[in-house]
Amino acid sequence: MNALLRMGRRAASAMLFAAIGITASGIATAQAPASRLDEIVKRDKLIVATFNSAPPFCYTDEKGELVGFDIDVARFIAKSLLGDEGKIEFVIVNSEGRWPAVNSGRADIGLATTTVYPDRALRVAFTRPYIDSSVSILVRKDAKVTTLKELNNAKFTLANLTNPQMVDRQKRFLPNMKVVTFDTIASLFTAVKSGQATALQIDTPVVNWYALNNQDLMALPETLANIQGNAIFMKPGDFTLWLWMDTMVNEMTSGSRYSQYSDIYKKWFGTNPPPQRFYAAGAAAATSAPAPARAAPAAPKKK
Amino acid sequence: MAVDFTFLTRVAPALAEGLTNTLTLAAAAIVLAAAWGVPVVMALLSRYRTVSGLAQAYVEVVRNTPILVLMFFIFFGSGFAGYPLSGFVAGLIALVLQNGAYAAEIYRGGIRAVSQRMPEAGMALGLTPRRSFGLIVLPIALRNVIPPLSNQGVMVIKDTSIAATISVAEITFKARLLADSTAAVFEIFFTLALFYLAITAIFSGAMRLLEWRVRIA
Amino acid sequence: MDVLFQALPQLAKGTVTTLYLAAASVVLSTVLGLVLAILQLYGGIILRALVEIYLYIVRGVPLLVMLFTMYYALPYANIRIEPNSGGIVVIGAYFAAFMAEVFRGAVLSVPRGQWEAARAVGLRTPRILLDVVLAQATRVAGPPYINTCIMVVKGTSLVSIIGLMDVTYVGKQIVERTLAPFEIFGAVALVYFTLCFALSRLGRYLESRVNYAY
Repeated sequence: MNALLRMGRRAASAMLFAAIGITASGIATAQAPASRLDEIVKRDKLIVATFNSAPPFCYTDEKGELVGFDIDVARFIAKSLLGDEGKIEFVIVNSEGRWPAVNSGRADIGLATTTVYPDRALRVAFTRPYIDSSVSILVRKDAKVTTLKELNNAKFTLANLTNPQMVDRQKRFLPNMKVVTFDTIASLFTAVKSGQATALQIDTPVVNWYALNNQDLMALPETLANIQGNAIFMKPGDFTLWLWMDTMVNEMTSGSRYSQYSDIYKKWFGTNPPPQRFYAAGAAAATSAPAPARAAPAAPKKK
Repeated sequence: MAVDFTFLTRVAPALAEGLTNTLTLAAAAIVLAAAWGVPVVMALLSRYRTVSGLAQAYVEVVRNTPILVLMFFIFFGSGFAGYPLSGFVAGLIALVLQNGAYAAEIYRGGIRAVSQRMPEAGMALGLTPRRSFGLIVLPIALRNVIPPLSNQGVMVIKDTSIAATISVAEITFKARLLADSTAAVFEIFFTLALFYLAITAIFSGAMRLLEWRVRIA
Repeated sequence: MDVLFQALPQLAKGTVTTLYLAAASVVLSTVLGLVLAILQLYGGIILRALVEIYLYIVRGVPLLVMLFTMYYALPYANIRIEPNSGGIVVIGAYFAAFMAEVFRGAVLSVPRGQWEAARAVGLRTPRILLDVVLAQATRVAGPPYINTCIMVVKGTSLVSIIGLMDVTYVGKQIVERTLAPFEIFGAVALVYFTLCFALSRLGRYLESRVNYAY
């Protein structure tokens, strides 16, 4: 049983998982100690760990309100789970504070523009990605570079977040650059803007957002990674909660909640989300059109 | 929960990579702040009202501002002003500005603590006021200020940890990077605390030795 | 200047958080400091040793490291603390060590002879403590106590690093949006300066009162 759960938690492979998941969820709800999901429903409020300085995903606007794509997705999840998007509480964390926030139970789940990496998946449980991402470089125009090769120069400085993946990528793609490291995306941006760093690396949508809003900065056309996924993360071991969240993500990206999801997507990125089914490429344009019918596992919200 | 101390051998070498930065920053900040305190205290004790007033204002401002805010101000401010200082230099300047003011206050206290009678006695023996200050008041004052300076030095060592937020790769910074990549967060911060305890203990020990040496004289 | 004007409401919000954190931490550190000082002065040998160890650790480890430990490490030991109250507990416990020194020093500053004199006129121990020792010790403790309070106020700025929205944190956020570090960090510094300077004036005033009494 434990082994099965662990396998599910690490999302070993989709097929294996689907087979085990269906049987395990039945057993889990029968035997497992109360899921965090019941706690959320009982408390009638979803607690979400997030950033407040990572536009356009989760950041603070001029009025001091928490806004962004991740924030809207979190509110939509609260609405789907509890019937009201206001039944939500945000816990603000910084880059490396994400993991203890969910593992300690301070927050139920985390939505903080978080990329899925295998080593991270050892410590937290990820759903499937709710948005595709990649890693791009935001660079000062006055540095006059247009390629990674030109940027890879000892006279330039790269701003990193305090996470090892950034260090790895910098060593692989830009080994000659000097490095400065900060704990929030806002600090990375301030460093580049102030001239403390020449460039920063971060998720492509974030880079595009900054490039759009700052005349003196631009995104390098090359990326440091292929498509990677940003996902919801939570404490490992709670299969019921994980399954509900994963189902929710699936419903948003390619199921019954696709139209609401693409509304949020368009609000923040100006385009439709990429179609999740190659055979339904036209579906994205008509936001109200439901995605092709398919068997989705029922959410184990009520036992 | 079983406590397994073998983690020390795993965590400590990784943290030690930041040790050079911590020690260099702390040593430079302590020496420079102690030196910077001298002109400041001279200005504080100046006969000219404007000079002492300005010095007093400087001391009040930097003492009543958190070191973190000073560091942000200098680090990000210098960038926008067109002269980006590295995190190390910005952190060093902030530490020296603040602790130089504390050092000046300590020097002033040390000089005040020397009885007024002593320089008078010197002058009675025919010394000029300046020589009487240099030969009599200063040596006694210097001895007085070693313990408070040592305390302030410990504060400086601890405050170097704050430079991690402006990208100085010292040991607290290393600990945060490690904390993101492993689950052994408790062990990491425990080891980090041990590092600081060791550094501050060695420093205060050395200062106590110095205190003891000059006391014999 | 426009930048600053627009930022004022948010800075004000952050200042309220800072004030709240500072006030709560001062209260906690004072109470804890008193307990520590009493244990150190009148406790048994084991209690005294424990207090010594505690003081030694606090004197040697940065506040920031303690905050990180609370924030990142305790959760892994299954100890859950809300960031706000956690911050207050750590800052309070940290400066309690400095407070204890202040209180202990003040009590020790009352000469032994006073005890004997009070005994000689027939006072009992509790009365001596209250009317003779504490009455004088509180005066001596005034100025260094205020200094420690200033350290507490400045120390609260570190909670911004663990994501609490105090005035330093708010300032950092506004700088990211407005790119005006001089104005905004200047304003943040001014908030701390006003708080601390007011405290230090109070300290001076107390000092003059103490000297007047003698």
